[in-house]
Amino acid sequence: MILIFNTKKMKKYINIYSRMVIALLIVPLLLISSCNEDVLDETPLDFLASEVAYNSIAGIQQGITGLHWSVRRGWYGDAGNQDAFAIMLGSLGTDLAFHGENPGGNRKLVNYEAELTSENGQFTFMWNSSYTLISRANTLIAGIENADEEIWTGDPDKKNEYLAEARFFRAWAYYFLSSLWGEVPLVLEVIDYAKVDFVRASMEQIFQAMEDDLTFAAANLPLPDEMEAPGRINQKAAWHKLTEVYLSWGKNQEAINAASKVIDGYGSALMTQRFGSQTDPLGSGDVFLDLHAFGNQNLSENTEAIWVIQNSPLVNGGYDFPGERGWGPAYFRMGNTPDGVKAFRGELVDGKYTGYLDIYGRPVAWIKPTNYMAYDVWQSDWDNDIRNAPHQIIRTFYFDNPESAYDGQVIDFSLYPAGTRDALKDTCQYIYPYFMKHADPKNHFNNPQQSGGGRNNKDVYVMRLAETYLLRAEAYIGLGNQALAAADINAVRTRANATPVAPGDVDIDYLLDERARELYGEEFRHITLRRVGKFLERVRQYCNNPVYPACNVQDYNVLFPIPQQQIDLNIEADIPQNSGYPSAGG
Amino acid sequence: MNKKQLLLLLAFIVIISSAIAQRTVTGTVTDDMESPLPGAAVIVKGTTIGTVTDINGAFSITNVPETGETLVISFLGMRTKEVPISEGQINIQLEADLMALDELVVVGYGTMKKSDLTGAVQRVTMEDLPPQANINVIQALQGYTAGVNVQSTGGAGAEPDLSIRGQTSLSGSDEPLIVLNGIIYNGSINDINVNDVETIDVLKDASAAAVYGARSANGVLIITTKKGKTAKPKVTFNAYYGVQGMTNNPMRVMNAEEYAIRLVDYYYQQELYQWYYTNPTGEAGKPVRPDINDRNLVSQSLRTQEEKDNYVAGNSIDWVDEILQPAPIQQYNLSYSGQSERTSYFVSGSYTNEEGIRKNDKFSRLTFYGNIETKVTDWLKLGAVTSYSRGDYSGEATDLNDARHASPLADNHIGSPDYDTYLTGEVYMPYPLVNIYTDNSDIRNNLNLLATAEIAIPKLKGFVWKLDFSDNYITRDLNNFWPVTHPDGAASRGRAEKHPYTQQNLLFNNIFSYVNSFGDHDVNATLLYSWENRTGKETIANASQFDNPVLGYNSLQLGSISSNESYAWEENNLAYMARVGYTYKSRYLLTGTIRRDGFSGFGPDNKFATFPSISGGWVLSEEGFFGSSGMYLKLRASYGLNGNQGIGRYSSFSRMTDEPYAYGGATNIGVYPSSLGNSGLKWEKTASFNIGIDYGFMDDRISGSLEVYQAQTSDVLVERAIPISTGYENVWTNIGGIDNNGVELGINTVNIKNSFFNWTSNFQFSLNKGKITKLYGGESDADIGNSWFVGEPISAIYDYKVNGGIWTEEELYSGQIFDNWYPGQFRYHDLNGDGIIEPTNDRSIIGYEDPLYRFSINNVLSYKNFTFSFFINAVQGGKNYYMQDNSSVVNVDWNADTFYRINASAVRPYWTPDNGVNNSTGAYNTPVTHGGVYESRSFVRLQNVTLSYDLGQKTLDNLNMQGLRFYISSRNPYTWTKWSGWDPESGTSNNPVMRNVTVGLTLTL
Repeated sequence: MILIFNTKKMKKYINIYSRMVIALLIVPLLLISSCNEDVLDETPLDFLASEVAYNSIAGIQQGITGLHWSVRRGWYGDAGNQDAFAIMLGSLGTDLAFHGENPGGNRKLVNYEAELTSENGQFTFMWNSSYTLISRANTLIAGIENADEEIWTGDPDKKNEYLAEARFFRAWAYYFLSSLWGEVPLVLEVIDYAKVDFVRASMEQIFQAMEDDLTFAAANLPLPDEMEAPGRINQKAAWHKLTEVYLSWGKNQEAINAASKVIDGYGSALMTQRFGSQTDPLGSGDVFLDLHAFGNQNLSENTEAIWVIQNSPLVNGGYDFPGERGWGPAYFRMGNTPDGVKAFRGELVDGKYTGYLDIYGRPVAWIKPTNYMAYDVWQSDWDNDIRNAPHQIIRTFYFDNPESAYDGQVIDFSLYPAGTRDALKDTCQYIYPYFMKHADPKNHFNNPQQSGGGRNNKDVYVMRLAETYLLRAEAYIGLGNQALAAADINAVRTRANATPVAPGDVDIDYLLDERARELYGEEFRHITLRRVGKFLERVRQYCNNPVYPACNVQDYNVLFPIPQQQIDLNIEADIPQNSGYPSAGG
Repeated sequence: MNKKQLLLLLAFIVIISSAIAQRTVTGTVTDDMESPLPGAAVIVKGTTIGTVTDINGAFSITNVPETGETLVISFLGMRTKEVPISEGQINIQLEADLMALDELVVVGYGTMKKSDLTGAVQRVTMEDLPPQANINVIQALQGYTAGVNVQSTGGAGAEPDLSIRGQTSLSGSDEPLIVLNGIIYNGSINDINVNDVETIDVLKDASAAAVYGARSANGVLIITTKKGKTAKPKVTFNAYYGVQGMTNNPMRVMNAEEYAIRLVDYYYQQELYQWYYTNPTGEAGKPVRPDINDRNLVSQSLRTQEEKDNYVAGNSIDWVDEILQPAPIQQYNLSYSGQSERTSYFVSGSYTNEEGIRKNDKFSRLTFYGNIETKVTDWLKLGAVTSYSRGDYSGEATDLNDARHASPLADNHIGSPDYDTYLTGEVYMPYPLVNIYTDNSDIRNNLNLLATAEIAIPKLKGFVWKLDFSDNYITRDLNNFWPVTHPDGAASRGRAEKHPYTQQNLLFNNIFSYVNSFGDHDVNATLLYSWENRTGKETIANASQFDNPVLGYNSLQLGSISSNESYAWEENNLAYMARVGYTYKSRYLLTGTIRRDGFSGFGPDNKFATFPSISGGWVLSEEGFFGSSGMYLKLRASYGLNGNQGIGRYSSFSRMTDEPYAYGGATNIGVYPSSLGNSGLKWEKTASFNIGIDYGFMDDRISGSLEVYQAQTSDVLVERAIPISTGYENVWTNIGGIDNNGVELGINTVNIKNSFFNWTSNFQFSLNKGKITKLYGGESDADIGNSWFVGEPISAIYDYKVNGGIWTEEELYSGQIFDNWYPGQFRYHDLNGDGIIEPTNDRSIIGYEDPLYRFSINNVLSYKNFTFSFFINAVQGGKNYYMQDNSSVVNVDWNADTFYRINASAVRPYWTPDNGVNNSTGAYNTPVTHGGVYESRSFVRLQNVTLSYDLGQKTLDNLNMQGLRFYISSRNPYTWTKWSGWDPESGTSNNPVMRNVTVGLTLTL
């Protein structure tokens, strides 16, 4: 009986507890299932994924702006790499300039033998900037092509217009790469995996790709007055670049045709009258000064500008251009006057004399012009060529300290006792001809303690009509047509109030001289000299680096060495080194 | 017989038998210091009859059956003792059990008796460590556990780097998982008050760590904080104060004389080079070195007039000295704890203040901690652990790098606000004290809550259901104002930044466990479901161009240009885990675990992975054939799979980056792809095999453990460098395999032991060797660009090898020098013998960055109330291991530009044609290619020395205290090393490890 009773009771308990246990087990299960595994799906919260970034017109416009930013950072300032900037835009190690601050050092290409190696970061930077620009352009091109068709509703031309701008940048990068490294890997598609088997394409393939991109660009880019914003790319820029491509390719007639599109169309004209802001702290001025004055590059009345890098001051997205830092002499380091006080007392800021003059800024002598650039090239028209005017190239500097008896006198190192000065520093670092087209005197928006710290905010020409004329002249020389070559060169010379050149005097060297006069600090001289086959000859002839004559250039330096990183990481295919460099053929 | 009769009979039997067979046994139990042991269990062997000792250690058992012959006395942490039952008072002295086998060790989502462990788990009990000035628990751990690698870093409030065993991942994280009171912890280790920590359990092998599956490949560190334990409320106060300074090998920089003369040599050697380029065959025509004794002549090579004037006047300043300071460190900690019948509590508060050896390097911290646990009913236990930490990192430290580079001849404006922002006007040379003028505030708060409910399911023995909920809320409020006189504000007329950051980590654990014994069989099972959610957000607001800087970062609108950035992220983890443990006769042990883990950061098809493990143990010494030799021997073996998710969120996506550009002054946002995604990204897995032996000889006078392991990692997560022609420098991917093999040995010895003098030693040794077993499959067995080679450790250094020092002028004259090489340059090994040094054929593996082995020795000597301990820690490279490129310190900079602009170290003299230096290049140097200058970072360090004095019991009783201890302690008093530079452990960092001397006291009421 007891047993039966207990069994009943037990059953009851078992029922209750088993229910409890089941309940307790179920609660966690419910919690598990309520917490769906969808929580593991990832959605980016603070960045765009490439799949969606370019699926609207606004997104594509941002993609275009990303390309403009990339060019400014890679080639037109020192934010990316100071040395790469000084070597390329500053033309260090060419017939035009060498590094003034330390001409015997081992930076900024004072010594090709030691510096131009496959492991040198300065040249690797240039290579890397080019390929990242290409990749960004490729991604944008694919993005535009894959975007939903309805985004173009109402504006069907825009698609090709944006494609054209992206393809322009791609060609621009390939022109830079192939001019300096020769046969480089040709990447025209988005790469979305760890590709390690790149091979070098032939020059023919690369030229063809650039021609394809640029002819498409020239046909589809907007007209200059229809650009969405100043600084964007228009048809002129595509024709101008195509001219360079054809010149490198040896297709002179095609180059002439392309250049003529720019020169004869689009309302293009060299500026001959003063225009825009005409502030001239040196008391005289001319149209060449106005061309390079702050704020004048973007003006619609400037019919000479083709493509301008944007460097606005005091705005988010603006940029400090190291124009003074790069091209000026480091006058403020020269020490004392012969009577023992500071040679430059400087501006009075917050009750203290800074040692810097607002008219010069704070240059540090990265780029010192060769004697050829500073003197010889001007000889024929010294007094009349406005590009050689005293306000364009300052060659005379004055002691500037009222505490000295020498205040206001011309700085002349012979005033100092013999053996107290270092002639190398005096002439290469402290005092040398200062090309003011890169400076912005008394117009610094930042850093008053250092008179701008070597920086200004002028917009910078990448392409200017004067160069288009000279490119066409180069093509005419190639075809043996000296008369038309002279005509183009004289278009530029006449504007500069220089004596026109006689057709019989025109040859490729004369053209290079004219380019130097007109475009110093505006062209990539390394590329120009290589394009016309005059690199070694001109560097050896004119680069008067006093420590390393001709910057110790070597025969094999006609091409840059492929960066070692690229060779090392490309483990499934061989990228042969350019000939002459140590590991070539190894 | 009827019922009544039966009852009577039974009662009779009981009375008779008890009258005949029962007796009473009494006695006391003490520890080896002869202090009474309350709470010790005293049981008659073979029965369940027994009792627990009272507050005086006394016991009395009244119903001891006649058959009982032996008493078994046990107490946690003491060796269980058996004594024969005898007449009269039985006094038993228990000895401390050095093996502490009954100790409960945390194994993740539960605890286990140490004796039942089958995995490699090592426990550090904080109370056992000598008292010293630790800011965080990792610091305290350094050297005390084999296989746990702690690398100190310098600076106030700095967190050391931590790893367990070898590096299993090429570029995924190698940080161990930190678990705080059972909850995965993502906060800063600095936010945990070291005084609140009770124990740290280190899970080293796969089986132990497998309960944490996917995140455990780097090992797991389980931190358990204190609870109230004593019936009598306990108040503890401790405090220390000390002074910190540079360790014993400070690096010297050039003084004014050296600084000036090296510039003479720099330009002189430039001239020499011009001459070398003419390939001279003898001394004829060699430029002559200027007379360095002519002060006027030497002064001319200096860059600026002010340096020239100072040199001629004989002025000099040591900027390194100027920015260093004796740095005070202090900490005060107060805790109150106790336990009532149902509730235990522990509350504490602490204040820490530390300065670094660099001026303006400051850190202070306030913490509060509370741990309450209450038994609501017999079957329900609720607990809450809360902690709050407020770290103040405000103040931008001065920079040793700036001080090293500053000209010893620059004008000295120290103490004056009109200092030169850039010494001598050189932008490479900021005023070394300039950071003092930054207005920087950096407050980091950490609020941590853990709520737990534990339900022992009534009537179902052994079933426990536990719920954990944790919320860790972290904020950082960083603000900066750099005035126009600071390099960061100079170019923009003052710059301000406000940078608030918050992070929230939520975690929910649902644990179901079952523990039961059936005779000789013990079973232990755990089921887990866990969900973790982490979110963060961040805003950076910038303003510059301040006409009026007086309000600094508090009024960004006074700056005329502003820009903003903001960030947000979310990560999720899901996990399911099951673990079953089985023990037979406490002799044969088996544990199996399986965990399935999901992480949001992996590619869409690879979110989940499963990680199983199995382990077994065998206590040999329990076997009959071992007899009772006073020996303990346990064999363990485990095998399991662990994962690594240490690549962070969103890694599978291609990312876009934005930058502003301004067309004609109008801001436009530019967007471009900045990283390459990989949608196939998946878990990295490490399969490891571990064999361990726990041993004890001579009644545990010698004890410890030995571990041997082998770990194989596959699908290694790497940030692989790729050719830039792809458009990207690297991509996250899974590749190949890595093997790690290692040995860890721990030995504890009791060297001398008597009633007034004790000496114990502890020795830890660990060795790990890893190698890459596979890269991308196929033919590629070397990836030079990434410095990865099959068959070699990950840390291989691929570079040129210096072969016989420096080229000499004699070699130039005789034409023995390689083409394009010049005297004063390193002479590298020409591996293919072609007379050209170039990267493709002349680089090779010349060493490894990782150390080969580590060891540490701790000795504790106590005499009466004095305890002296000293701790030696060593990290050793053996041959060619633990190497680091130290060019920046020992050699002239390759980049001459910086050499002639800024000051340099004076560790090795530079080469000149006349001084015969053979280990450092010339002052001027233009090699066509160059490698690093590698030095071994091996060191042996006297890491801690402590002398403490505990007040005796009588005095304490008179003072009505439970304990009072005074101590004096020194950290890192001396280091033996051949490394040139601040400190081998901090390597080339300009933020070296400090040493200190502190005095402190601990008072318990």
